[in-house]
Amino acid sequence: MSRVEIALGPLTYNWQNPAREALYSAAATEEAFDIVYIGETVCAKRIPVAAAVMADAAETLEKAGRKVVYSALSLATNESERRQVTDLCEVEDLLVEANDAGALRTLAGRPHFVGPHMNVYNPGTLEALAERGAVSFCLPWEVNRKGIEVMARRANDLGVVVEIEVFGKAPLAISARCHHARAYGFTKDSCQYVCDRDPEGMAVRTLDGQNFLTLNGLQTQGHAVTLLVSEVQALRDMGVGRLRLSPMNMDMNAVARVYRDLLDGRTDAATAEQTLLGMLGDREPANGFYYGVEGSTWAA
Amino acid sequence: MDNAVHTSGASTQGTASGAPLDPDHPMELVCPAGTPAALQTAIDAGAHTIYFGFRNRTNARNFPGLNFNEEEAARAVETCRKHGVKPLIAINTYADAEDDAIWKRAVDCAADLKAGGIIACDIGLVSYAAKTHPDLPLHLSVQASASNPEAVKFYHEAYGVRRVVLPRVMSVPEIAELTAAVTPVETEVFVFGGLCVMAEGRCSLSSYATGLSPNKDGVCSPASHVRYEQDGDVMVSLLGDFTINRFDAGETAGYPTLCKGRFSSDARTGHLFEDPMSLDATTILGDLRKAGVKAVKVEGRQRGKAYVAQVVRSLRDAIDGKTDASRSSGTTHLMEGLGHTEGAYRRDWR
Amino acid sequence: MADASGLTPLILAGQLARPIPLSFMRRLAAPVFRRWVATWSGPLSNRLCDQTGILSIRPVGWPLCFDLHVGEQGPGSVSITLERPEDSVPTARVTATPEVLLKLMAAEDGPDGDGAFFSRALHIEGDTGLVMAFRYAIEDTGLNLHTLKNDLPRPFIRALEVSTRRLEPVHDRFSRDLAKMQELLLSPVRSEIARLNTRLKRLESAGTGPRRAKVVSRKELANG
Repeated sequence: MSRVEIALGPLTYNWQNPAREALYSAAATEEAFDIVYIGETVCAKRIPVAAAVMADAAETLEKAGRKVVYSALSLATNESERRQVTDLCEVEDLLVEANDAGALRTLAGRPHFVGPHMNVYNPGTLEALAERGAVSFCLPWEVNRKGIEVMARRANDLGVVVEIEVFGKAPLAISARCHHARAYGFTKDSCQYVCDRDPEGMAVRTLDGQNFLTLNGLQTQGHAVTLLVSEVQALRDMGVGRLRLSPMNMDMNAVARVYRDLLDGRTDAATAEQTLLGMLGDREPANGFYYGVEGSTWAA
Repeated sequence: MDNAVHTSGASTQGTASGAPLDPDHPMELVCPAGTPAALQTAIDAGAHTIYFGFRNRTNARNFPGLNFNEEEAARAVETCRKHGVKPLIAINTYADAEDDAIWKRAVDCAADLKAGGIIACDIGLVSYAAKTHPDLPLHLSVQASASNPEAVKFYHEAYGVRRVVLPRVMSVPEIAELTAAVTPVETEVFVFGGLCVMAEGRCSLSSYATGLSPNKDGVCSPASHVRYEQDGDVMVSLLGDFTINRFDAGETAGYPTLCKGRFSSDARTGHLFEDPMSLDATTILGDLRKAGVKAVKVEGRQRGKAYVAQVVRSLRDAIDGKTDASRSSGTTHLMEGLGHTEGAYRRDWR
Repeated sequence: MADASGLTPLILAGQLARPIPLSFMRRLAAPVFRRWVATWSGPLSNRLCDQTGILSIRPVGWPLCFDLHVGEQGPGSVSITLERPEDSVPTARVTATPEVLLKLMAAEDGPDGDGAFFSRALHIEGDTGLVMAFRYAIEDTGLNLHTLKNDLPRPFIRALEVSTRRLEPVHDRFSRDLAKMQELLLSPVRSEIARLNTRLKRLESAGTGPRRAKVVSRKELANG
């Protein structure tokens, strides 16, 4: 059976530059990461602020032998958002992950990745996009294990990779309106970058105090952290080629090592799960999407 | 304040630029039908085009007791044709990985019936339709969330999509720019009904709370997971295990659509995503026409005949220049939340 | 739920009918229900074929409710019985004043239940899917007060017509007067109830604390 890779997903939160720098210089030293996605998938307004740091990060990562993939925005509506996407996709020698159909158009005909914000729900879509040059697909979060299995098998037939998010808060929605700014009484245009106050997004609770969602700029995430560990063996058996870890405000290198050890048989699933639950601390875990039930559910 | 909110139907805030509607070149009015009876109502009320779906997961209003079986669909197409109305069939969910048979069947059926077109979003399915039924006109559903010219061109160049229904997240200038850039692809926009505050087809909030989603199952905040509980005078609405709203006695209630609920955060408590408003863009019909929009669309296949009759008649009159389009439509009583907004068409919505 | 501020003429009429035995009313209704079922169950079954359960339609203040039994005798089957609300165990409940229910059913385009629901004139509890399917079924088949009343005894038709059309202005005036009276009589009691409610809620919330999302066992999901 071929080796299952581990990827560090794009940073979804608006961390300030020193924190970004720390994340990527650490990732550069971590052999467990085969691929590191950099780039902004949520809000174009964050891009110029972090541009210099992200450019340095890409260079450091590549020098250290990590494969770097540039993730594009997931919702590009206005002029500057569109320009961000086309500018990125037009650089021929970059490996880009498309998260909207506009990026797919520009990338057609050369090898590219398809991100989880593209609606790849079935082998028909996978084939159609592979025909146009897609070589790797990170499937949407709400696809369950049966869907993953069918698509991973088809991907193997076609010689492309299926990647699954196994760690991180699931992005559930994106809007042209910034609900994060709106909660503080601002609009998207006048946001004052309030999303940088919450390194893992701002908690949304129900009126009776139950933790529910997370506001992260234009994006809304689940409250719980998706955690697939006991499921890794099944994912490998299905033919999944890569696991994605979405950056949280914690030691991501340590998280990656737990998964690498699990994949390489140096630890068992029960121990790995306990270790990761310990690292999550107060954060609630969830794996309901994988089992085809409510995404907020934790099947222990 | 984030957007102009009209709380009475007679309100005439000066939002329209005053672009006139030309009765000789009317925009196409695209209307919903959830049942054959509603379809007849829409025809009688003046619809140019009617869209409906089959009775299964292949469409985004997969509600209990709603929609058309194949026999009803065949009769619906025939009825439309007799009245000079264009029938469109919505196949606007994402086909199941394990078994896409009902989706392909829906496309084949629409082609056999010679429907005026299908409204689809799944790339695999659009690709199937283009290959198998090259004569079947393809409209890109709002569920594909094509919100920039490059995305629209992708679907046009790859699969021959002729029309795109634009996401409800774009402003009028953005619509105008996109429409000009994607010629000969036509643009269609929603002007009335429920308002998705998230990019359509990119939202699994419902799935997180209930396991069922618009993309996979054709339902958002499905009835099967909705409960209403009385807590003294307060009505509590729940979706799955989560409280979506609490309504004090006398307060206007709403269906617990997740993004229209009231929640709390450290910054603010209330409608964190969207106030319970419905879209009514009657006042900017002229601006949309000037923006080059070919067709305007009414949301609400799940709504009753009363809604279809009044909303369609009112919009048709406005399009035909029989009523003053700078005034809102006077249909506020039919709306959820009992108030309306022009939504993202006004940029300050963001 | 049926708080006194909403008393209507038909609620009062229902209260007056309280002493009439249920068995007598059932006998009275039986032939009408038989005809309704014979005429409508076929057309309705088209949109109810995936549903099972009992939908109870409850006019506020009435000593009886209409229970629609869906799918009991095979897919799409519909039958109707009269029950005492306290004895009926439905899957779904639709509750409104008799006037609201009549008005909904009188509309030629079918009931705009959405409007009534949004304005809180109509309450839905239980299986919301069953309620929705029933609503689409009656709308699509064209079932409304006008078509139903062909199967009713004549004096009842007259009474209905009067109550839906002519009573409306009387009802409006009556409710205004009643509301004023109640405001005077009941306001001290109301504030006391509100105070007790608040205290109760505080006690409850102190006891439970915030809930957690659902936790299940992987075994449970193994075959899902």
